[in-house]
Amino acid sequence: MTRSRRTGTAHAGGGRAAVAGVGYTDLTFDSGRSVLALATEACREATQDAGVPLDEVDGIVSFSVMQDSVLSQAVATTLALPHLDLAIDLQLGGQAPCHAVSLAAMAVASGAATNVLVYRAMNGRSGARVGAMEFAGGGAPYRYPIGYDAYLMYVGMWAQRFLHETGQGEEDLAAVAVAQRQFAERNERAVRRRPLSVEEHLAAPWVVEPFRAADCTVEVDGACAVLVTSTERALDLRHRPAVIAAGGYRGGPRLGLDIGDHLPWEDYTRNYTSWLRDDLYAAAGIGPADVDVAELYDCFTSTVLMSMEGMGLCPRGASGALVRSGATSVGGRLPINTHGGLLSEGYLHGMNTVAEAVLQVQGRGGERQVERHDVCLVTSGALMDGSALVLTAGP
Amino acid sequence: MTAGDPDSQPFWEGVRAGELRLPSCDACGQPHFPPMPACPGCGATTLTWARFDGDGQVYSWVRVHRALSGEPAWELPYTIAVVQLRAGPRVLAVAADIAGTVRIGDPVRVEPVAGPLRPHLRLRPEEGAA
Repeated sequence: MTRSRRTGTAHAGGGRAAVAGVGYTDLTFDSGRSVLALATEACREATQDAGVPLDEVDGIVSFSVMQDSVLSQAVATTLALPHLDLAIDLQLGGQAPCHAVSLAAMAVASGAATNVLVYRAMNGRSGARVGAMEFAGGGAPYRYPIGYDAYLMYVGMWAQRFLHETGQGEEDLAAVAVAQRQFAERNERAVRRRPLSVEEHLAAPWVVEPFRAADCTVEVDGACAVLVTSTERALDLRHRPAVIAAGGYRGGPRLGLDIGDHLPWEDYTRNYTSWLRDDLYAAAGIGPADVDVAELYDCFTSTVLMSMEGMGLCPRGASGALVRSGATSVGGRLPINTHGGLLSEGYLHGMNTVAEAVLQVQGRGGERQVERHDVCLVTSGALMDGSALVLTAGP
Repeated sequence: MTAGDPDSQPFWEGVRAGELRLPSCDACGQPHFPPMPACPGCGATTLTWARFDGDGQVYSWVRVHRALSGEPAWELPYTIAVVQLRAGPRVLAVAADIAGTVRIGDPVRVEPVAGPLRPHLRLRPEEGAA
């Protein structure tokens, strides 16, 4: 029913492009800095981390929702880039990070640009908060006046149906938060690092049923960037390349009038991952059993379970049991969200999910580095549309 | 906000008149929601508005215990449901004044509530529904 038709959209340069470096600002609750200052710092860090001189950067891709960030043009100016060959400012939310990296990879593979920065910058805690944002669009007049007015409600609406149809429950959601927190304890960047138990999680009050506080991401101020270049060039740079084996965006049919308009979508138990999976794996030349480590978009706990099932990492209805078994946490056979995820590291809208994948593939995950990291699956997005990458360890 | 653009104006006029009015596709016959200038099923652009009875089932729901965007729209906690209409489309409905928890699969009827500030669809449990 939800099988995707074969298309070329998941190729993203077919391994000819790679991520060579990552950059972060501190993640805080009140940066006291402009979004442009944050974006500039993260981009500068990413180029330095890669070992690419700034004057060789000729492309920028970024994303924002409701104008909560700064344009590529501005960042090119503050980085004092001599010229710009590629500027893409996506008006997308959490669906964007893997999509943005794929676009950068396609540009590099086609020769349209040479070294492309991809960033997300936001004062997401002290400034415009995505969690309480009113998304404009054709579905908005039916949502906001009636108090259906926050993104977690939309994901929660899907979660209820998903748990109902797959025979899973709140213990399965709790298990996701607990498993990821164990990684966050080992991640100095993470905002939430205190150990969490299932009992503690389930004792907390509802925010929006079926979600409690620990089911939800923690909003932060900060920025994150990665540098995409050709795999050939990356081999001469500082770190082992994280090769972009495949990547792409996918929206299924009837994907709605705006980011919060899920009413036309057929099946709230299957998100875009079900539509993207086959093409993504085919483009990468792998199957789900080949995935060593996965960094799955997790604005809310249910999104991890739905995306595990959508990506074929487990059978339908078996995601919660897999997480409860410990397989996805520290020392498990399929580590998922090794930074603690957006749930614990902080909400840089999934750009930090991509950066963590790069660090793991490069073997730079520090105390949280997983043992097997040759093939990493990354996803971006929660509902109707989203994107994904397969990153592989370069030679 | 709810005055409606040209695509949705007949819906809001219907709510104010106490009727659930939806656009249906002249080509494939399917009604849809939210209103839009073409049928999301087949892409045809000739639509006809008609009245529907609002009978359906709860497809999913959330219960809001904490206001996240300023003043809550209703007294907390309140429930918002996605209702699968027997006519085909799904709509959002408020269950602010229904005690307890709405369950998936419950037979319900949505009914329009006119109001100067906040016209909307409200959930009514379908007593003895067929």
